[in-house]
Amino acid sequence: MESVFKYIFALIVGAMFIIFFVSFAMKYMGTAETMEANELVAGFDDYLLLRTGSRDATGPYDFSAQTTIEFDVGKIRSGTISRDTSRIVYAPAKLTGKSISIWTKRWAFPYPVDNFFYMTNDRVKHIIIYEPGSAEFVHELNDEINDSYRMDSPRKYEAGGTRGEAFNQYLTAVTSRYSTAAKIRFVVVSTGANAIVNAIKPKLPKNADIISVSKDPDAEGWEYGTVKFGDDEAPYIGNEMIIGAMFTEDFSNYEFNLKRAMQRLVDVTEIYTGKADYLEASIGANCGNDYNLMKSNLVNFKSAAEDRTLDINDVRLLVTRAEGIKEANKQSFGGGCPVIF
Amino acid sequence: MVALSSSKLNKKASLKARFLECIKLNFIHNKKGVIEMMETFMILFVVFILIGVSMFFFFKFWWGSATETHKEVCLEHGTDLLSSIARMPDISCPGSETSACIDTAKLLAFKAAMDTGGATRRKALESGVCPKTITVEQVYPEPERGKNSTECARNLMTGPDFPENCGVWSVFEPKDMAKLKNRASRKIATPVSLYYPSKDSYGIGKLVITVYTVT
Repeated sequence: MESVFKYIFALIVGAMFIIFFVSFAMKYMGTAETMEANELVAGFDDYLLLRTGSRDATGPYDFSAQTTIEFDVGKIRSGTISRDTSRIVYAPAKLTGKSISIWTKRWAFPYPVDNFFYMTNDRVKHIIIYEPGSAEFVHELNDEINDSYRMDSPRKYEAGGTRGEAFNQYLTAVTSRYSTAAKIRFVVVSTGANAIVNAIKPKLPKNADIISVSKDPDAEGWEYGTVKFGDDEAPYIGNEMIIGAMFTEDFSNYEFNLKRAMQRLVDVTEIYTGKADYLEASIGANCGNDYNLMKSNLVNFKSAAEDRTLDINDVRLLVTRAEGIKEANKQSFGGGCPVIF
Repeated sequence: MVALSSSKLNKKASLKARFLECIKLNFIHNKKGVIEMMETFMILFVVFILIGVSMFFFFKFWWGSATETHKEVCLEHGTDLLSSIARMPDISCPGSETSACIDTAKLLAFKAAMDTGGATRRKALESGVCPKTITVEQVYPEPERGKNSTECARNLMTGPDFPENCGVWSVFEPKDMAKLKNRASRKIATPVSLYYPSKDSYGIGKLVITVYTVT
């Protein structure tokens, strides 16, 4: 009886010790993991901050171990740690690997506004499809992208006949080549994108999606226009936003970044308005009414950029005003009257 | 009859003696058990004390290392900010967005926008692990005697003796600055060019970031 009691006592005390040490180790591991994730996310955001000094730069970001980092409408997440970032990031929802490619480009409209960050890795593939009307622009865009990021050569869309057959074979070949990729993003750059998208979409496998880019009919070139993600569409301004649409996860992320870019445009315009106001007060007497005119142009530009439901008509107005500001800055200032930007 | 009663008495005495012996033995046995129990509890007590002491030192060491990491992350963020802030389109010189040159007119407008609520701009500078203040100090042309720490406000910047009439632009400070007064801080600085558009001339300045850490 006595020895039985001893065994029960030893069992209880032993179990207590084991529970204590296991729970302690688990809690410690959890805390260490949280700290590591926090450090990773903060360090990553700092790296982006450091890159904001570049106009156009690319490079890998090394995590030194297999890591998953997630991006969603202004948030960077690793494990359970999420952190808001004020950077404009175009990336797939989830990037896993030991390193990721980060490319930054400065967006200017008409003056430098902010840096856009494009992120991807080998598991995401991008394929541009064009038609004769967009061939020249697509080749320029492809050169611009290939300076920083290797991707397949753009392919001309063909329909009907032997050429159409060859295009279909190309689609089959490319989708089977990248069948293990996390995602294949087809980007149709065309003046009449809908027909091409409708023709290609049914032939795509599950790991592929398609977006389309079309220029505005009023625009001379491809400076602005519309990006379509399925039934959703939003305007773009400049090649930087087209590239952003290629790299981003979905429409909600694209739209979020568009709004953020517009907010940054408003912020920077406010600074230039302040500068014009200061120059008018300090040396305005020697420079006619030019600073005052510039100030009112900037105020009008800012009020157009503040429109939160940005559509293609607002973009047309913004582009016209931006061109006016650019021209005035070039023509009106110089010598004793310094330029605004 | 006498023999019978004597035998009865002996038996009774023997029973009594055996009963007393039994109580004595039981008492001795119980005492041994209590002592054994007390020994066990003493050992357990000592083991718990040892665990407690080692955990105290472990956590002390761990907290020290975590604080050190926090400090390192803060300084790293400050250094990154230092090399990128002068290149921000918001304050950089016209046409030289990639070099460390600050347009003082934009700096004035930036500060005003920050003071009047620029939420997104404030958020961009507040993002970071540690609170910080950002200032730009003028080095050359040297501010007049006693003007080194004079804030370059708009009225001074539009005056004829600008830029010698002031010496510093306080670009950013956290909202809860009063709480930070007692915290440890580290100053990091880098030289920058300063552009005075009203004079269309350049000077030399120092971009200073004060990072407030835990210790």
